[in-house]
Amino acid sequence: MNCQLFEDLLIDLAREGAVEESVRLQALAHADSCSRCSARLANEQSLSAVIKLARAEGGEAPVRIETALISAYRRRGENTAPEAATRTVPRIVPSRYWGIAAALLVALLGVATFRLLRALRPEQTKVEVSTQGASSQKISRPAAMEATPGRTVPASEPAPLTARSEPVVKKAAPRLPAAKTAPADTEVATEFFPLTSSSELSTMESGQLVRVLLPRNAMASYGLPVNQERIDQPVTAQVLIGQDGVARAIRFLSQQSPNYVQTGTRSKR
Amino acid sequence: MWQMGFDDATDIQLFQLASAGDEAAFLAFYRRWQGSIYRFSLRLSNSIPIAEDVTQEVFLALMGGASGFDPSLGLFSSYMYGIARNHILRRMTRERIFERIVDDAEDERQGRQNTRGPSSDPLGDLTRKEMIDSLHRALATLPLRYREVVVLCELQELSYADAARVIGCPEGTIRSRLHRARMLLLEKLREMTKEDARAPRIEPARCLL
Repeated sequence: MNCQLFEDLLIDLAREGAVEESVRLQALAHADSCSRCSARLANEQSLSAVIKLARAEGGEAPVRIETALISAYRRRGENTAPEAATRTVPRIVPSRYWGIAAALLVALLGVATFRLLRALRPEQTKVEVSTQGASSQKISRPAAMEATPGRTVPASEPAPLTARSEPVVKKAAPRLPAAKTAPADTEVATEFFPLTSSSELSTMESGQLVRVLLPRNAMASYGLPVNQERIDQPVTAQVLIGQDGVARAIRFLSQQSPNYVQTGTRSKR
Repeated sequence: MWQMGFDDATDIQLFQLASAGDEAAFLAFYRRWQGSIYRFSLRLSNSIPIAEDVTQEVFLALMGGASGFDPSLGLFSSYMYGIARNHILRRMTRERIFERIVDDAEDERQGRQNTRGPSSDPLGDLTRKEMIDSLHRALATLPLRYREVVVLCELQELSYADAARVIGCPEGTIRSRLHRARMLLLEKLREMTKEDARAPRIEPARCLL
């Protein structure tokens, strides 16, 4: 027996494990002749002695666990009494996960349905942005990107508009009768075209209107007819910018009688 | 009492009776195994709450059936330790307490739980308790792969083969891990002894009058 073989047997020797008697005697003889192996054996044997003490120490689960388990066992028995011996009780944890998954699915379906209904709803969500004075203007979101006729607003309308601190999202108000003709000193505006999703627009609390000049071709992007004779002239537009700095909607303005069809326009209240 | 009749029943027999709706068999089965499962969970996780939860989870899982048990692959006890181990690892991963050491409050609770009746050898008990505490503290510092082998093979007295089935590794791996784990344990215990020796001692004052 050499030290390597002794090391391989050491734990079984210390644990008094299954070692052949002849091998055990050889190992012990080696330990007698080798001080290092003898010390290793002594250390391992003392460790085994402590482990033996720890093993005998005991320690049990609290009684309340037994009580809870017995209750669970009885409930299970009530549910499966006629066929307890043959049927496996559904596991508790997986069923909980299935419940959560079902709830999530229902919630997702609800959200999807809500969004679909909103998208299909013919009503228009109005966002009211107040001016610094008492006057206010309605910003409406058309149901679809169509050449919706504009409405008239005073040419003296201040821009940009300041936002009110109170919530400004309101339900659609009944439409006013369309103006037959636009006065000379008024601007004609199209309806607002949303630049973001409808949900973002409806949740907007305040915003500013910024007047910009755009190439006239931009009108075509919103389904508006473009006067080819004035194609090289820019068109004035107002962009509604939310409090977060994101552009939410746009409308086009014209000082003159608009080049696009003017049906369904309404005057400012 | 009623439990006396189950003393000779094997684990499988008890489990089958319990599965068939015999509450007394279930109780006997629980009382036979709860201590082992609880201690295994406690030593592996170093956490009393986890040990309690896992003990409960193991028996709840068994109530749901033992469809994963194959008698040809090992003992029913190995199957239960396997369930417990999976629950413990899941909890430890979730709570990230792989190397947590039992704190004083838990130590105290453990001490209360393990308190036995009055002893005729209080000093011997104290020494024994100190040794066991040192072992537990040293065990708690071992990496999990070594700790679980010590808990299974040394504290729960599973054979190498059964421990290998619980952990899901070859028997040779268990042997080598146990060898290494015992060396680490000895090193830790030696360090603890040195630290204790360095601690200031209260020397008795000699009366000079």
